[in-house]
Amino acid sequence: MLPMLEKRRTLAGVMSWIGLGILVVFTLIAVLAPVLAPYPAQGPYAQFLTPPNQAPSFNHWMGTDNLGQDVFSRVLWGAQTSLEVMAIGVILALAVGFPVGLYSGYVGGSIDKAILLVMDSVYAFPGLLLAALVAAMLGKGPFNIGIAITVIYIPLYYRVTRNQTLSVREETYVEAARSLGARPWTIMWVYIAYNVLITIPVIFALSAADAILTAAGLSYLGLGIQLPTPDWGLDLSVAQQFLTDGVWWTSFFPGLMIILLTVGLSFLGEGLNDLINPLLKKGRT
Amino acid sequence: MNSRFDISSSPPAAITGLYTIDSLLAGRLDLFIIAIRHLALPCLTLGLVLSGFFAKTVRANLLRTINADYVEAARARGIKERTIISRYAFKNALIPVITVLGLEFAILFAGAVLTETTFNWDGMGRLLIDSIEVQDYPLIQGTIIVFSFIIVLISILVDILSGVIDPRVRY
Repeated sequence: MLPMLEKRRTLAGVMSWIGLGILVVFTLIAVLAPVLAPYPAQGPYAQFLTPPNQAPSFNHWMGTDNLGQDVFSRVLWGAQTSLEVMAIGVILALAVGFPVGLYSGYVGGSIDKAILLVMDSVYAFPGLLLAALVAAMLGKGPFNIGIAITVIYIPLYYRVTRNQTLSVREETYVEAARSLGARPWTIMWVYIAYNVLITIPVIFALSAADAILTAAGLSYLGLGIQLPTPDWGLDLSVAQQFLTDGVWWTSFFPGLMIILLTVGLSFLGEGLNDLINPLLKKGRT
Repeated sequence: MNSRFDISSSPPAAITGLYTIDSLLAGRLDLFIIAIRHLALPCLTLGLVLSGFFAKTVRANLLRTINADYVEAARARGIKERTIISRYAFKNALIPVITVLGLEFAILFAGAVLTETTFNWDGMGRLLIDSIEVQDYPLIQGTIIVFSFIIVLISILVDILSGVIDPRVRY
């Protein structure tokens, strides 16, 4: 994150700041949803008074959906669901992928080959379908969806960690530590881990962006979050059947939120990538 | 309901099961046009998503090859910049792109569930999701084996192809 603070204005720097800004705004929306949302998360409000599928108006900024629920409120509450699922998915993937990658890269040999083979075969399978399979096995709460998403990204974190470990392992200071009699555990977690960690923020942001899409996709397919919990992907799939009647606001706004958050996280990831990678190269020479 | 064809007209007799090929085999150009029209939006959707991804891959690889020694050598010989980019740098940048192209093809075959659902096509991805929903285990296992088979097959094809294109690749 440090290179973001450089004075010089670069495209990458601006991109990552915009991305971080969007992420902060969405986090605030999620945290402050109970305060910001004018209506509760679910259930028809003021029954018989709010007709379903009402166009955006002063009372309902983004209109109402087919059950007479306020779309603006549901979009705000939906940020909670999306960020929760994303955070569980990405943090668990890091918690599993990083240590396994570190171990695999450090030990090498046939253990490394075996783990690599397993991870690669998971990686080759279409992510959304894999998540759908796991979600179907585990059940449909936000936590289970988070775990289902974790499975897709473990190989990613594993791969990046392992490859970086392979090159860091050969550095002189690691050799020095080894010759001083440091135990493998110490070498892995004190000498190697911190130098591998620099590659993590980039894939953390990029996989988070992808996780938002996957979570929305799962809900859209009916295998993720279940009604009446507010969720962008879910609201989108319900709204789709009314699209031909000219009811655009129920699908447009949840879709817009998905796009904004994904673009924000991608900006953060790509920007950081451009900022950190030259540093890595400079460090080597 | 399936949106692979107009409701008002009947699809061509099944020979391969692919409406575009079947209609051509039957010599019915009008049916072919209907089939193509129904293909346009789903294809555009998948294509748009992938185009950004490929632009990124090509850019990354071109940046790598443009600094290579053989490009430098070509420049020293006074070859036009256009020719250098298209003949030397771009061609060599394409090799990793082909690998990605193959894998994307395999993944699209199975993983276009969202597009299939949105456009109401009953494809392979939809089949798997539907079988998961009703917990039809033999069908789930069957589709996954077919997917895995396709992914492995295409990976092998890509490996062979990149060996043919790039003589430096040896197995």
